[in-house]
Amino acid sequence: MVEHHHTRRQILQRAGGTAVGLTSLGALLSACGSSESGNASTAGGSDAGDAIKVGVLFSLSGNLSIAETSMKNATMLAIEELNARGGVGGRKLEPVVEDYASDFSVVVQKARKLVEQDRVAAVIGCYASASRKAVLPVFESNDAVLLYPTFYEGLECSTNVIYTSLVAAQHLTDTANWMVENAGKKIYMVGSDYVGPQTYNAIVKKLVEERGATVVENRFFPLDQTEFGSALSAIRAAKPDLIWNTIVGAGIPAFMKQYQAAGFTPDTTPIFSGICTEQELAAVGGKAAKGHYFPSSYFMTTDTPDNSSFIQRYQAKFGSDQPTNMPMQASYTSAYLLAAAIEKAGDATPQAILEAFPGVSATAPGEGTVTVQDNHHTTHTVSLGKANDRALYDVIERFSPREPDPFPAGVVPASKIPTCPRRETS
Amino acid sequence: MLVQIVAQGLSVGAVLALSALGLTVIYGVMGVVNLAHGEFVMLGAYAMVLLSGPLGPWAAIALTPLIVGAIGLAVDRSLIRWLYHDPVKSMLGTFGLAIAIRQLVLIAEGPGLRYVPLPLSGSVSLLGESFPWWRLALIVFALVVGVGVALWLARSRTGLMVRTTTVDAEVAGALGMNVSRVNALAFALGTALAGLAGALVAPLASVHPNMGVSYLVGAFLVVILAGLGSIRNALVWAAAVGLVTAAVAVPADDVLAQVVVWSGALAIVALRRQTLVASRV
Repeated sequence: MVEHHHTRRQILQRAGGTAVGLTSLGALLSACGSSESGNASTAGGSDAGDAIKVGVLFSLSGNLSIAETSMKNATMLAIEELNARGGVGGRKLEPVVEDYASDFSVVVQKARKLVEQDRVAAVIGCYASASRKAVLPVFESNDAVLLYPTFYEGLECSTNVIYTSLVAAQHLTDTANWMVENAGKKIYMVGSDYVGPQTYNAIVKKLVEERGATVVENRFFPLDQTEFGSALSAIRAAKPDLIWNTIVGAGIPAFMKQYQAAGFTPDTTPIFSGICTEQELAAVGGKAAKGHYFPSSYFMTTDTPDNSSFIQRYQAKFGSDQPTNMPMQASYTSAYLLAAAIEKAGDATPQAILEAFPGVSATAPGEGTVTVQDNHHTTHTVSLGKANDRALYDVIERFSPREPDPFPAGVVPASKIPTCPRRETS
Repeated sequence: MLVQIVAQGLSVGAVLALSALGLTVIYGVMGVVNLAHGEFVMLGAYAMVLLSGPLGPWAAIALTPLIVGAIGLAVDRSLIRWLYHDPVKSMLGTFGLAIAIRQLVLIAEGPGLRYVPLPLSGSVSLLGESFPWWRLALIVFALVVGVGVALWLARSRTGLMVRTTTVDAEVAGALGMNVSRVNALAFALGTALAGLAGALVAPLASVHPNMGVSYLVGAFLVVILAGLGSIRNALVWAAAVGLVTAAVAVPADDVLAQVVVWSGALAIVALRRQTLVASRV
């Protein structure tokens, strides 16, 4: 696993190097473009009436568009609401939407366009870790701001990124403790074979072993695998008390449906998933989903006035059948966090915004107050959801607010824990 | 353990066989390497998504091959017939077709994962090991369909025409057979089989517009080992690939199973040193 991670990092560094090379070339090429926009702003006057440009960078087409289109929508809803109440410091927010088409080279182009050409104050966007890693050099070399609005594995704290959703250790710690206490001490782990699920599983393995549980197996599958019969035979033979699952995307419905078809029931062997929002669960179907668990900082079923209002406003704008989920709520909250940072800074330059971010809070629908910390991650309140027969999660336990820890001790060697934030690319 | 491996292996083999059958029929008869085959599997899965709600799963399974076969027929008449007996052209043409089908489904149905209920839930006990009913059903379906198609080709009058066209289309035409109609029929049959495979795997798989690729890869693996155009060999090799996969994956690891299967396939093809094409259907 270390070997694998190392190789991956080398590849990423190489990709980063190429991107930096392109960036400096791009700086020359776009010099004329930027002077034009400079003239335009002088002509229009640079008083408080100017709109603040906010980049909105998601996949609106391709594989990732199902999740990211709804994240874009939630961001746009928040921007519209902020403008309706008079904007930020008297200035309207002007969204600049870019579709990176689920392509991790296009995302670099689009990020450069937003940062270097449109000169946005900040960008809200990216979803898969691969997209965030790809644009890191763009944001760091331009000293720009990215708000990354989804849960992720951690092991990063860029000077130029504000991580507005959950980071793995913060996400999973209370659930790992809960499942050992309530579901059993013999654990079988499965996951998709890449850095995210491997990190999640390493963190959970450490947490449950500290609580006296045993991990009988930690099994990874190729990303595109949808045939899990062999693993299910092995699980049957191992007779675990519970399954810890970080299979992602298209594998989730296949795994959970095959699990149910193979005769496993959540009463005897529940599945605790680390990466399975309501969006994936819908394709599992209520019959196979019911009784399994997922921890999150947001559930659509949360019955609070602010969440009902959030769902109602979202559905009024984007369709009454549209579900809400955690990355959407984090995208929505990101726009409010950005507005609060700009208000605190009294200025909409990226540098002022970055400086202002630590300590900034916003109210996240259905969750409560979230606050950006010095390490550029955000405090969150995690709840444990149990799926019902409509393939939605009912909250069965609400944990205490938890500080973000992107480099959990015991998973990351003490000598490798950096001072956050730090530059991730050279 | 052994029972689990055999049962699991045959069920993997059944899915491979179902998707390979159509591919091999289409190549055998008209020399078209159909790179859009996975997309016809995907269309079958979507037909199942849309029909199993209103009609129930069994009627949906019965109707799906007809619908996908009809789409196949239309595609044959409008595109494929210009690509007969030219593997390279047919690969390019069907590669484009695959993209078009994926995008059309994406536009019509969206990129999300779709839900299909299990027609048969519960498990059966085999020699003390429990095994899901639907996996057993897949094995039975693959056998019935495979043997059915082979018999139809071997015994029926239409089957005879198909075989004659396979051997020599020109002579078949000279003997008064409507070669064009035979080709269209074969393509419709091949795509109908792909659609049936899609309908049958949908309850256990993840249904989305890009799902076809993995079925195409699996089908190609079987067809490369079996030789394009041979139904009996396709059934045997599908079972063999399934069993080897399960024999590694059940006790060890799925990634390792893939490595073993593909390096094995590579070694067999290299040792055999012969073309892909089987001499007979």
